[in-house]
Amino acid sequence: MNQTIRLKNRLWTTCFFIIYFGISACSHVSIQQYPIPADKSFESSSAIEGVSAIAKPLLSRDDQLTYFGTDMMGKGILPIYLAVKNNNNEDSFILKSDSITLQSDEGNSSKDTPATEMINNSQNMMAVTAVLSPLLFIAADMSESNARVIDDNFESNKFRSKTLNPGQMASGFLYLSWDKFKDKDHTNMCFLLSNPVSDKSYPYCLNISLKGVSQ
Amino acid sequence: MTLLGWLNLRRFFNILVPVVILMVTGGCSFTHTYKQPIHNVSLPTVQDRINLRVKLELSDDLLNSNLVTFYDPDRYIVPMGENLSYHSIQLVKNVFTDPIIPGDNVSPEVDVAVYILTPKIISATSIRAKDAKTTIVIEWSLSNKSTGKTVWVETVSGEGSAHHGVPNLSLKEGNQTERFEMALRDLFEKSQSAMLSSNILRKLSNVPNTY
Repeated sequence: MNQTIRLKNRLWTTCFFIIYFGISACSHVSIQQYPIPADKSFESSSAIEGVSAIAKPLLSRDDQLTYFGTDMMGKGILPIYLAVKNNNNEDSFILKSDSITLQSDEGNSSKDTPATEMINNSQNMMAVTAVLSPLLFIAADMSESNARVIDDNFESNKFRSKTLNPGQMASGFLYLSWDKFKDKDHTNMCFLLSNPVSDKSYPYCLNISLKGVSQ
Repeated sequence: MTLLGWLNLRRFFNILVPVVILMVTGGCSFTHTYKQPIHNVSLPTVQDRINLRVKLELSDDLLNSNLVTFYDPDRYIVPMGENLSYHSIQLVKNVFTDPIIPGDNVSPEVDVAVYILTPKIISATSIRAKDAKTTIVIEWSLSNKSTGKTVWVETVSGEGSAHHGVPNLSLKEGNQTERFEMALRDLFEKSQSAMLSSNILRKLSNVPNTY
């Protein structure tokens, strides 16, 4: 009788470990790296001092699942991919991530508005880098280890400050609070390029279309 | 008390005691601190150092920074400050011809005519998964002390990863230490490479010194 109970207990313990390790091994979320744009992608954008930029919002849910492992807009976040290429043969430029701003007031949006004016108009602007905490994902409806992987990917994909040497490119994602922009057709993203040798700064603005959201 | 009442009471306690123990231990969170020795990550030798007087400034945020891994409800902490400051000093000595490190006695005349190098901790994460990974991200910023202008900025990410197969193994002290050391090495090697390959820093080194 006792032997049967002991055998049952061992079986239960073994089953528990098999299930635990099975879940641990199989439940990892798969996330792809966003492709780095080819040089020709920058040809259509205007160049300032030889520097060109492109910005692409990830409006499709499928893209968000592929590159972030989760439905970002369902969590109130719109990721925008920004790539900046320095094709100037001589000069380097500093691009600080905290200088990047977005215009949330559609009434004042204009492609020709100088970025310096927009940046100074703080009521209409929001700092892009301080929008969200990655901890947001932890409470999501997924296993803890998956949430950590997604959280880590979210953090590592952020656009970071960089000095662009001739020929270099900086790229990464900016995270937008989707609630503030979901009723808008477009937004303007602006940043400052600083030449540390000549001590001059150049505003650069991009018009981003927010049409074509697919759920 | 009747015999029946006594037996029911025993049964009640047999159930209650494990439940109380589970509730108490389940509700407690423990913090495990894995204090790190100075990992002497040796950087590649530099033949052609940058001819600049650079003063390293270390913030309290950097000196008190920790790498934290959560495994609910527990926390696993790896203090990073000592290692980050030690290796920042090694890096500045390795890359620049005229480094000034925290604690150096410098005359006021010299202290004005310098470039200030500041490492700022952007993030430090450690994920507990099948392939455990530790990532430390630092933003390096060099500014001209007399003008206050930033002349160079670079964000560098150092990674240390190891395949353990079983997520819980990644929380063991030895594994945390191994990944931390890998991330440190990667971080400071990349930082050194970024400084040495910077056009701006090379251009500034060609400008005649005013001190």
